[in-house]
Amino acid sequence: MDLLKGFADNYKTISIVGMAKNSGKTTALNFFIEEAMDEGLTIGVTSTGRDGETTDLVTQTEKPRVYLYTGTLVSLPTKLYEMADAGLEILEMTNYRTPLGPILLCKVVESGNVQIAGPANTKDHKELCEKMLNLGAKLILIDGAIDRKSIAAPETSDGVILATGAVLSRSLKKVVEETAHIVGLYGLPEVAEKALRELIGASSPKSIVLIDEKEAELVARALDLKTGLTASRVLDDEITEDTRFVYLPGALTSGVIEDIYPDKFKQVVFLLKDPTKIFIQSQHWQQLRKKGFKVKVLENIKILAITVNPTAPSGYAFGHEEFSAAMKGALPDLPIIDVRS
Amino acid sequence: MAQRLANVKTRNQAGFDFVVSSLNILTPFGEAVKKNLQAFFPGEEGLLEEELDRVAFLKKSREKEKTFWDSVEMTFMEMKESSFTIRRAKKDVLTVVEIFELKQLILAMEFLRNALEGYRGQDGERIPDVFLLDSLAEILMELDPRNEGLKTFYLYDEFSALLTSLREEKRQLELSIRKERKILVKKLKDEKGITLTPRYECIISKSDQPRISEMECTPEICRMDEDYMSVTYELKDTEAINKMIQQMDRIDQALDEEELKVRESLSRAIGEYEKPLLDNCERIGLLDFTYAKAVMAIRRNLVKPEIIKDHLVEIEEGRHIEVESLLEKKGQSYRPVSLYLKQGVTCITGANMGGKTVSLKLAGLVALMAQYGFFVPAKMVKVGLSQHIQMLIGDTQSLERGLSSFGGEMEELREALDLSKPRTLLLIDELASGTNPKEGTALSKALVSYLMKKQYISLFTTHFDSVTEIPGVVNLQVTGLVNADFDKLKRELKYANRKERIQLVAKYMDYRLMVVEGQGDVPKEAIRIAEILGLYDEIISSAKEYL
Repeated sequence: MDLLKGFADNYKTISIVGMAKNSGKTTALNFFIEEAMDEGLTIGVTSTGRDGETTDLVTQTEKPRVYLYTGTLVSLPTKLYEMADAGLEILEMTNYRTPLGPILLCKVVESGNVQIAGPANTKDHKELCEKMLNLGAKLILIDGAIDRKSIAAPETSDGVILATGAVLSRSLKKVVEETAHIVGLYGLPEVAEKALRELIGASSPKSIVLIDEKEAELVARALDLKTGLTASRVLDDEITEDTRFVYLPGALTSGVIEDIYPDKFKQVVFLLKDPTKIFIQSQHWQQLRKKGFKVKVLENIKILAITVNPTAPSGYAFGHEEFSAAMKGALPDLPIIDVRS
Repeated sequence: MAQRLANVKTRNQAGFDFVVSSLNILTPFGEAVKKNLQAFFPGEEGLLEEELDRVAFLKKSREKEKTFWDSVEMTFMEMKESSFTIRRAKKDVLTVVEIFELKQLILAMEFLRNALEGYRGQDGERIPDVFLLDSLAEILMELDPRNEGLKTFYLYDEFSALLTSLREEKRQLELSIRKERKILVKKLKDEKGITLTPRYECIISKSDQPRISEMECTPEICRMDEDYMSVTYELKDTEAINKMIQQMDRIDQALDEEELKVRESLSRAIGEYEKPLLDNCERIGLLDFTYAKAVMAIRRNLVKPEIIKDHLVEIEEGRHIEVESLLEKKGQSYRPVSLYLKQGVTCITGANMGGKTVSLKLAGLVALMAQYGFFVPAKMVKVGLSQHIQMLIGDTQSLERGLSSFGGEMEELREALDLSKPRTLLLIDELASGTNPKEGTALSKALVSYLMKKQYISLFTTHFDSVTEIPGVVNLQVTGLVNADFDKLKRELKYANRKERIQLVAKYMDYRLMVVEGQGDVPKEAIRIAEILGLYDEIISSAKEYL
């Protein structure tokens, strides 16, 4: 079965996002590049850049080195161009600046290793992907950053491949649990009702919006405070028996909901921009669910596959087959790919 | 050092900096021209005339041939600062990225050269010679061996036969290694039932001891990695493969050397063209800058100033464009002012809020713009070039240097007089207004008498009437509120808030200047303005009594 061609039918840009550092993201990227070659698919390869000095110290080692084949489109800054051992025809020097020079858009004319990097902000990134698609790429693979929370945001790509691995925990059970938790969050249902979306869209994007049902009609009321730790008590006061939905513009942490009387969870649905706004541990999340806590998002994240890396850099490892099987058991609907075997 | 027409403060206060910074410069070369902007001095009228003719040509051309200039603008925007790289090409070896950038620039220059050479206006006019570019067709051919006309760049095979053969050799070796390994993989699978991943690896769990032992006895594979759960084996390269890998290393080295040679020879080739390349940069800068002036002339409705021999400044319906653009943002329009200034002293007197200072700035701005080769904001302008232009305006007090505003003013005046020479344009705003009127008047009169004897055009704004009594002083008076309908104004004022009151003053104010012959009776409108702006009735009526 052609895995990537199947993806390419529905998704133009796919980011590979690591659950943590060393969860095998670059190995996964290389795996999919090989896969694309075998399937004869022309791809573009880029990464979500990271700017700022501190991260750049990290990125010196973090910028993934990948083996690219003739015909692949790739983005990289000028300073890394000189270091690439692949033959790269420069197609365009973009206006996207990085600490390593402006980003070049290149086409591989001699296969070889390349260190890739892309523009830092989402808008530039989208533009670059658009350029690659116009140049004939059928699918774009994006090396997402280590920090999954910010980078997996839906606007970065159409779909996500989640790289998980032994590095998360010494307990195989815990790794599977954490991964399933994230997959669960990313796949949270989207708000389907158009009227509801419009009500939220019409209010200030920075404020909490409570939506009450009065005589069978939805009425929005914006709450003039930011999602903060103090918001919790105010929220509890504001949620009346008519309240049906609560839109939170910022992060959903345990603190935001801790003072809300649990019985109220049954009558309201919490709404968020996207699943990356949730910062609640797996266990606490399960407890909340049991109490009737419900969340919907304006935009969820499509997870297309899970890659597993059974080896942790600190030395311990899981059995390959065992790990894959456990993951398959927890997430039966997703392709599980062991990038090491 | 080149001589200076006006100091930084004068250019800034007159609004000339605003004009220059609102030019829409598109290339780094145009920016360089802007940074080293030079004025034309008396004696250079011919050169200035030529510059103004070029602006006129571009203005007309831009109005008629929009498509042509749109494409020129697009080409301008593609150009990046590369003069440093051009200079480096002669002795250093450029990187691939640098050669790519130069190729882009050269392509853009060639496009522009052909466009400019091929241009014919509606009456058959051509682009002035100063803007035409040198041909770079030959060096472009060297950088584009496939003659594709594309902006892309790579150390193409066509650059060197050796490069081609080395690359081909490398590709063949890669294929051979792959083929050899595939054969081994197949053999392992067929004969021993061992399946390897596409990366020629195989991971065996340690709990599967029989398989581990089996692997250990298979000579085609070797142990690569091990942890407490499993062992990873990988395909062992045969002697033949190892030889090929060694050969690949040698080819890689040779490739590096050959690529360096290719880059070096391309750099030298570019170095040969240093002069035409740099000349083109300069000419493009000139065209970009002059074109920006023409575009501004269209957008701001500017006219070509008439440059004359006599030292005078005549402005018919002039507009201070910095003030004008501020008013535009508020949806108001600028009411033009006419001025005729010849050598000697001219005083502007009249109402507060009557635009005296703006008119003074207007004279400075128009003179500066004309002398820097710009079109000017007026219906008609005649300018005789000045040797020096200086403006004394506003608060010059300096806490740092322990100068009060009066002290600062006197110091600056001294400096201005020091710098002045024949054909100076001196613009002074309310001299000595920060001291007692008795001495202020005396000082002003004395200065006027001093300036009357000089070959300067001096323009004063003042509230001291008697300054205009000195024989020979031309007195321009702001028309002011004289013709305003006060009943109507009063009715409107009744409900006006603070902002509207200011607007009302502007609405009823006649900013035009009229020449007052003989000893003029300066209209007293300060109290009235204070009244309109809402000062307490009690104070206003009391003030009227004191008067």
